[in-house]
Amino acid sequence: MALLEVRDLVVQYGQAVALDGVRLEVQPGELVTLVGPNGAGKTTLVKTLAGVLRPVRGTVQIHGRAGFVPEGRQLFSELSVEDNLLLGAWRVRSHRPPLDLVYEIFPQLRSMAHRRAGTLSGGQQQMVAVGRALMGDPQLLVVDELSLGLAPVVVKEIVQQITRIREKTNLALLLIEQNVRLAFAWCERAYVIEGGRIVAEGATKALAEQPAIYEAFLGGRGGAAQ
Amino acid sequence: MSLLIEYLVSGIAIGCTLALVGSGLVAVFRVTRVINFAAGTFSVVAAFLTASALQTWHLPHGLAEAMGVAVGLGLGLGVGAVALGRRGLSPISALVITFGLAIACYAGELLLWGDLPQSYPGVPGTLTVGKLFIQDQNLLIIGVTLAIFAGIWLFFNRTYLGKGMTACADNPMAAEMMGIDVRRMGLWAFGMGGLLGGIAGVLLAPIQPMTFSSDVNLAIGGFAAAVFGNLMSLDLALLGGIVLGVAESLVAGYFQASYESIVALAVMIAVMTWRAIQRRDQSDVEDRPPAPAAATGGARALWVRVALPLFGIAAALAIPLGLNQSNLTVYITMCLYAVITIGLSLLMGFAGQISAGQAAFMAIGAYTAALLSLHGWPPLLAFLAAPVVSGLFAALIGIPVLRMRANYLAFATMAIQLMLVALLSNIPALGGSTGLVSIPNFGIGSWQIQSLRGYAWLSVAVAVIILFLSRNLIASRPGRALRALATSEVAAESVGVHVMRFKVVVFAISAAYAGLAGAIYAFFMGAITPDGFSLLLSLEFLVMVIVGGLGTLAGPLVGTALLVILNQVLNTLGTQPGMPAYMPEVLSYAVYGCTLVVVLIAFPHGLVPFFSGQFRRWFGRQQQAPTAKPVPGAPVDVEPQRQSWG
Ligand SMILES: Nc1ncnc2c1ncn2[C@@H]1O[C@H](COP(=O)(O)OP(=O)(O)OP(=O)(O)O)[C@@H](O)[C@H]1O
Ligand SMILES: [Mg+2]
Repeated sequence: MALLEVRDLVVQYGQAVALDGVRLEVQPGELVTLVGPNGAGKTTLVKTLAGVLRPVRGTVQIHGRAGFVPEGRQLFSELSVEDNLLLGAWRVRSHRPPLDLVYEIFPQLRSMAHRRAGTLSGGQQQMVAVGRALMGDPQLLVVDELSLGLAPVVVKEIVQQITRIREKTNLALLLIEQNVRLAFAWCERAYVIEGGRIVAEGATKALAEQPAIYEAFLGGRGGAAQ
Repeated sequence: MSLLIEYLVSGIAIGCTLALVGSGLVAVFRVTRVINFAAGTFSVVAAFLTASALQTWHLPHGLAEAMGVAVGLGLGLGVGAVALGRRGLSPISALVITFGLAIACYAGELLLWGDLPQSYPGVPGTLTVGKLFIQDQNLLIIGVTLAIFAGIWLFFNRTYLGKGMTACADNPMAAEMMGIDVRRMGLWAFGMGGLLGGIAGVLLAPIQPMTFSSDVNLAIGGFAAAVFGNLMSLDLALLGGIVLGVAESLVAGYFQASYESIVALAVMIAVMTWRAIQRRDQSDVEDRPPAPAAATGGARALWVRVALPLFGIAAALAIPLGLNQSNLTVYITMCLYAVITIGLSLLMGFAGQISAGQAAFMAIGAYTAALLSLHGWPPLLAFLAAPVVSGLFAALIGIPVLRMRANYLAFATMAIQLMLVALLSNIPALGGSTGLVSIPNFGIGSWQIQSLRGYAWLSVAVAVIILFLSRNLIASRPGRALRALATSEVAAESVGVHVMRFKVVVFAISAAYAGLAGAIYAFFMGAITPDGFSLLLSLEFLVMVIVGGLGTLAGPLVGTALLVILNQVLNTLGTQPGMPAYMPEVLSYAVYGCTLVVVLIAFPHGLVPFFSGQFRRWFGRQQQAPTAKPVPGAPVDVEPQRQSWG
């Protein structure tokens, strides 16, 4: 059974259609990326998966726990780092949340546990956001714009840490990423979304060889930034 | 000396109840970013119910108080359910809804309990230390308050649920992503507010009898206390409440009890000024106004731009010719109110701030014009001085208050409203409660307005001029800055709009308009009293603007016309024979309160934008679709499947 199943999803903002019949699946343990130009509807999809937006039509089924790293980090800036992490476990209401696990992955956070999250640097905030999403012991991690505003080394570190977790657990990943080169190198399968529709899907290797996709996302300066 | 200590103790006790109300405000604000105007209502209703339980139903102490508190809790949940009921409602709209509900509750309170003060015995006995007598009730209040504050402090700062609730306001979207039910948390916060307010009311009634309108003072006092902690910190709210209570008790003891709201206001302004000086660095709690309805469309046909307004002016000028004396009075009222509501619409639509005290600025204008012309100034000069004085006064208040990002102006203006009426009735030089009489007619040189029709023309001319001034203001460069401000404060700031200064200017302009209308009103009536500028009138202005639509010019005109007519109907109904004397008030409170709530929930942008949108939709102007614009500052994203209101 698929871990995440999205069927014929239609989401509107007022009259404006942001997602138009989106289908998408993620199997347990799978690495999937969703790429597309600005305004394609990626964040809208994430918000719908998280239950922040309600679809007009279609269904979202998650057979398991999901953790979300929202676009732009979205920490609780007035709360401490530790409180931010703890609130990530809200859905599971666990009495012994895996704080130490997160501190193992991101050791620098331990010393900042009691700082106000709003005072952290962008990279540190992204670490908290990833850690917070991991606190609910998810089987699916949804990351919206992992590398936004981060230095390449920081991205690399976060990627490494997520990879490490995947060695121990069967964590699946749905990655949304502007750096398509990174996303394609990391993930096995990809969906391409444009104007609220999935316009292509398949193995990343095969997709990367399609001229249209290469042109749009990988050629030119598309992936050369990093 | 012992008198002083007794004042101090009772001041601390009263301050504790204010702090309790304030803690309810903090609870709601922390979780929802809504400033809850109904905070005092919970106390009053709880106290009334306790009084009935004790005196009418003869229930034992303890049970009666518990019932009162329970009703406070229930009322809190009810207000919360309505204020948070619609997804995507902005905090400022929710604020007005709580205001509307508080006003509607007035009607219920009056109907059920009448307008006499209610009280009941508290804990009997006094503590005697030497020559000092301290009522045990005071000690009870202080003890209970300290215990409760410790409890809620622990709740918010030490428990998981408390942190989850705080997270809701900090970042609603992220909270929802973590699976926190933001709206349910908000509801619980309102419940907490109701509970705390209820406890305050039940404790306070034995030492301070309550009437239906005590809630305004309680809410203002509680707010002033909460402002100490920027509506976020509980310990500072407690401190604030005590400072305020002691100050009020000393003023009441040594000067005059009716100056209470002045103390609250003075303390509030002082704290805000101090905070404004302090702050500058840290990001304050942010609260953006609802976006005004789409500005006047681009290229319109010539006849729409020129012919229609000309026709409108001609009609407005011709109407007085066909009216009899009593209808002329209604017409003048309409024009004057329109001047005020246009200003309020600018303030609410563009600066995203609410004034619950426009009648006070009208009063300032009216008294300025009346006093000056009574002292021999030519009427024209007195007339021109009125808006200046009102505007300056507003700027003075606005500079500290508007520095705070959250919507503090609403409370500050309400405090001004109460303070001013109290002051005017107490100052003999201003005529006390009988007001000023035999104000000369308006005139220029030897020419004088002698007839109602003349005043009608004056009023309509002023209204038209104000309308055009405001239109040009909106279309001008500062106007565009204002629109930027209405959409996003941060964005406006980043393109170099000095947000605070603009807000102050708009507030001063709106006050000046009110002052201008007040001046004409004074000349036209020939006599003015403080009661003519009541909180109810301020409320009416608010209803007019919200019904009509924010940030538009047609909106307030339509809203004003509708409400003035409605007012006539209500007055006729309320003064039927056999009705109690307070019946007109009951009707007005009920109708205005409910209107505010219903309009904000059903037509969040007011009637005029709604119907003009419908009109365009029906008559197929395709370029419409101001859809999909989320209400900025909304707790969560707009519900996508919902039809937009555009
Ligand atoms: N709250 C909103 N109200 C109205 N329209 C919205 C809202 N949020 C997004 N949209 C619109 O929906 C469409 C999809 O937006 P979305 O944020 O999902 O894009 P995205 O793929 O995440 O883009 P990006 O790569 O820039 O993050 C865009 O056209 C956007 O303008
Ligand atoms: Mg996005």
